[in-house]
Amino acid sequence: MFNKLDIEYDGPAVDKSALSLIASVLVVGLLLAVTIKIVLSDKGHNTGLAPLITQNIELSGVTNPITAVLLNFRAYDTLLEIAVLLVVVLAILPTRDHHAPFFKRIEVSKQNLVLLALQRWITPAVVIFAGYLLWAGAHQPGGAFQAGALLAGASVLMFQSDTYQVNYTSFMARVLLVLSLVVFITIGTALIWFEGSLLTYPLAFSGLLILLIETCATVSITLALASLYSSFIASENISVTDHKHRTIK
Amino acid sequence: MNYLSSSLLLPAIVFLPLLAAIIAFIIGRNRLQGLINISFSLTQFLLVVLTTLLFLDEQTDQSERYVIGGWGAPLGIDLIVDGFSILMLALTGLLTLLITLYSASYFSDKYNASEKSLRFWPLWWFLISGLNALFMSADAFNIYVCLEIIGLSAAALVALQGNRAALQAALRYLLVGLLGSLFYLFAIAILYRSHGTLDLMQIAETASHSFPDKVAMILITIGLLLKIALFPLHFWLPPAHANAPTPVSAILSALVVKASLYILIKFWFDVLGEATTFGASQVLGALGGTGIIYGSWCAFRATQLKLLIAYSTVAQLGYIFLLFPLSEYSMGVSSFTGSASQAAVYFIVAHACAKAAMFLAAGNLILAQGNGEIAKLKGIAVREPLNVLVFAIAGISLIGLPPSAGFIAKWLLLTTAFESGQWWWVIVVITGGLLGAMYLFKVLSLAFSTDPAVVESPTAKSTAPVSSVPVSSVMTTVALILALITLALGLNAEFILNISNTVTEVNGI
Repeated sequence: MFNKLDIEYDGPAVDKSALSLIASVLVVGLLLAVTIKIVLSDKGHNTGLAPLITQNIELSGVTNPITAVLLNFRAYDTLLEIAVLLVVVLAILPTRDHHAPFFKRIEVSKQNLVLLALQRWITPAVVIFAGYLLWAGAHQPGGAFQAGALLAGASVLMFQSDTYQVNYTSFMARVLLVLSLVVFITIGTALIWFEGSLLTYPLAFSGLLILLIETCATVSITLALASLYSSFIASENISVTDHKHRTIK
Repeated sequence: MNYLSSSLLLPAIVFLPLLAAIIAFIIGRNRLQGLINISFSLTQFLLVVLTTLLFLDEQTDQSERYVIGGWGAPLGIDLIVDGFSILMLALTGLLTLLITLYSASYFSDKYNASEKSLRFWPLWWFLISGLNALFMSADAFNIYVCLEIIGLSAAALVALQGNRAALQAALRYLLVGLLGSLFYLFAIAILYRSHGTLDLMQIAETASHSFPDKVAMILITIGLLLKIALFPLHFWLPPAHANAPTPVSAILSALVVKASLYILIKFWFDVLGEATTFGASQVLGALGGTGIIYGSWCAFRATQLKLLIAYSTVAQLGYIFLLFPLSEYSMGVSSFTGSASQAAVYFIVAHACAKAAMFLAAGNLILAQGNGEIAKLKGIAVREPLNVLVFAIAGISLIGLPPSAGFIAKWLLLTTAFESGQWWWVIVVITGGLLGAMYLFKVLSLAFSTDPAVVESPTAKSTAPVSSVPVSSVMTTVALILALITLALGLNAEFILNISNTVTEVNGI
């Protein structure tokens, strides 16, 4: 039965995708093994900075340790992270239509009843919940990023019916996008004047200043995430319509 | 307010470009756009010069720590500069000023790149502020954030060119950069676990020859080598640097790869010096040496002008990696002083100026010629004599001929190699120099060869490609200034070495 060799393989001798798969699995496996070995072999510095944070939490103006680290102890990192978010928005933002209005409402003749009901019922609830999250960030898990993500989700829901359009390159949108960075920098540098060092909040106002920064950050993050969604959908739509034209013909 | 010290100015050096980015984004396209950006770059340059002078005046090893938020390490983040980082800051300030001047012309309404200016300026300023923040950071995680700003804005700037090749190169650049960052982040997690702090100096105090520290050092090295594009990991660099808009190519080759190199040097010599070994440094040196030969050979074979220069960057980065084997031998484990470090620092500065000058001149030649084919450059020296001169001066520095900054750098490297007895690196350096001469003279001889049919006939204008445009004098002047700086650095070597090595200076007195 082995007289005739009936195994035929037409592909290249070395399959590139398989090779890269094997290589990446090997790398991940090696990293995993190393991690396990480190965790097992060495006790490490178990406490880290946690005790230091608990000690200083009363001086930070908030009671949630994560918010204290993000907005006070390591506020400089967060400031630069907000700049990173802006870089990403800049990279994908369309360059035309500077003069079109920021917000536009188009009457769509065919309404989807279920979608409309969802929008009417869920969106206000989400907006209120986002506001609560923003407020709650001071003493329990929550804060600007979570609230911004929720609001962006709500705006995705609103975009489903093609009724509302936002022009992200209008003047208003650009101001809102940079709002958090501007407020953060302004407060940070103003504090050099009042307190002698960058981003040193005075104890009496630190809670208030953190809330102000977080509120502005929520606005910018919402708009940034929504713009990512819209540009993704826009490019998707273009390719879909192209596809349709071709198939119809 | 008491007296002004260099550390007090550090936040301003980060925030000024951020402010410029915000303003550029808000105002959009405007007649005053170029003017505003130039004045920002001038202010930035003056600020950096003031900081450098103050730092030199203080005559210390490193500046005072600027404590952000009044917390101090390990709870908060500190800013600090030493001789090496102040030199990198000064270099960034200088190149920012010159390339901003160039870009104001490049993205003006005269050329067809003008509609890209809306996106270019904010991204440009974010890149600069990321670089500045990186060079003064004293915190391992803060460095990660800075690397993200730099990596993302650099990839977006490459994508600005908009054609298919540029987009592919940008996407690959982005993915490679993210992979490198992830390796770095993993290493930081390991370091935080075993040291309980993110402050570089506090990590350095407790660093040892232990297993976690070694793994962290290996991961940091791999991650940063991906970003630096050392030889086997260089695959993304030539397309990314060659397809970007000209000012972006210049800053990518001159500074962005050096930023990752700066972090690697910092970890290798200062922070985790205890975890490094002689064998590992020889491996890095060998990769650098292979990079020199391979990069030069690819540059010789390149048919596109910008691709040739990009491959030359791969080769030149190899020279800097000879620092690792040479310094270890001469100075023990964890010090970034001595002749090898001087050679490396000098190489970084010389390469930054020469490569920026070369990319700008090449961009001008391509504008004048209409496309980037090397073969089409025949006789261009008659039409664009100044730009060819800049290309020649930058080339002389890259080859390492006197009197240029590149010559001093190579001289320092060769003497160090002889002193430490590692003669095999001498062969690599000399071969690299010869190969460098081969690929650069190939371009120059073409540029100077006169083709009578094209040059002397009165119909020469009509044979010129339609897409060619006259190069503005600002763009030529900026390239020329950079080339002259390269020459001046060759005649004035002490200047750079004094800034970067204030410690030895103070000890010497």
